[in-house]
Amino acid sequence: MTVPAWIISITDTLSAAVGEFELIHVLPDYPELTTVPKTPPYCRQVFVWQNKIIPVMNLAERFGLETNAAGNDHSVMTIFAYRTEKTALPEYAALCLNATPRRSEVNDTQACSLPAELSSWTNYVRCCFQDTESQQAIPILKLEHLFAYQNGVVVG
Amino acid sequence: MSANPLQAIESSEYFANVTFAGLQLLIPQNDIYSLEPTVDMTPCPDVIGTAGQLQQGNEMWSLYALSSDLSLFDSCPDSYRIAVLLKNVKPLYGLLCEQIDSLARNQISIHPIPTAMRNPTSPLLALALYGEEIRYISSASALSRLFPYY
Repeated sequence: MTVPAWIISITDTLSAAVGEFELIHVLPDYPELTTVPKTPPYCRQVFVWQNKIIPVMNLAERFGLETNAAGNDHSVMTIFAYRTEKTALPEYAALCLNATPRRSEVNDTQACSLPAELSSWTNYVRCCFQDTESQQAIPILKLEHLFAYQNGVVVG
Repeated sequence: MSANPLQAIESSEYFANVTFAGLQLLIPQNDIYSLEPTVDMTPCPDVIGTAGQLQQGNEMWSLYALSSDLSLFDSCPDSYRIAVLLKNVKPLYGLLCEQIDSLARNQISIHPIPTAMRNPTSPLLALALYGEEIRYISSASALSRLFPYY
C-alpha cells in the first residue's frame, strides 16, 4: 500500500514525516510569537491563528538535537492538526521547521526500524521508513503523543 | 474561593488587567481588594522575596514584584508604582505593577493552556485572546505558588 505523507526537516541532518492530512498550513510569514512564562523550554511560545492559540514546539530542543546555530533565519512555521487520545477533539500545534515540507509517497516496502540514536523518540513515533530520495530513516510522528506527553506521561 | 480555579475564571464577569515587565496578567476582579500607590509601601526585611509591605486597617499585605518570566524581584522597580492588594488568599499579599485596568469577560475568549506547555507549578490557569493579543489568566490563590512564604 502506498500513502501520501509530508516529510518535514527538523535539523540539517534529521527529518520526520506526518500523514497527509495532519499538516494543515504552512505560514507564508513568520508569525508574531508570544512567550508564555513557566512553560517547558522546548515549548515556550504561542501565536494566534484563526482565533486559536497555537503552541510552537521546538523538536530539536525537545530531543536534545544539535542544530545549526544560524538555522533560524529560514525557519518555516507549520501548523499540524491531531486528535487527542482522551477527548478525540481536534487540536492544533506548530513546529518550526528548517525547510518547507516536502510531499512524498510512502510504501509498505520502505518500512525500517527506528535508528538507535532516535530511541528516545519511541513514544512519539508510529513507525519508520527509509526515504527513497535521501536514503535516511524517517520516523513518522505520532502527533497526539508528541503534543500531549511530557516525560512519557500524557498530560491534560 | 472556588474549588475549581478554571470554573472561577470562567464565571468571573470582570478581570483586572495587571501590566508589569511587558506582561499583561488577568486576575478575576473578585480577587482584588484595593489598589494603592507604592509611596505608602514600607520595607519588609523579614519575609523572603518581598519588595515591601503595606498596611490597610489591621491587616498587613506583603508586596511582591514579578519579572516577565514571573520570577521575583527582591526590590520594587521604579516603574512599578501601583500595589494591587489581593483577597481570597491567606496570608494576604499584593502584586506591584506598572498599570492596571479592567476587562469584561465578554471582551476576551478564554483558552486552555496548550497541553504541551502545561506545568503543574505554573500560576497560569489559562490564556485569553483580547482581539489578536494574548493575555495570561491567573488568580490570587494560583499566583501565591510563586512566593516562598506560601
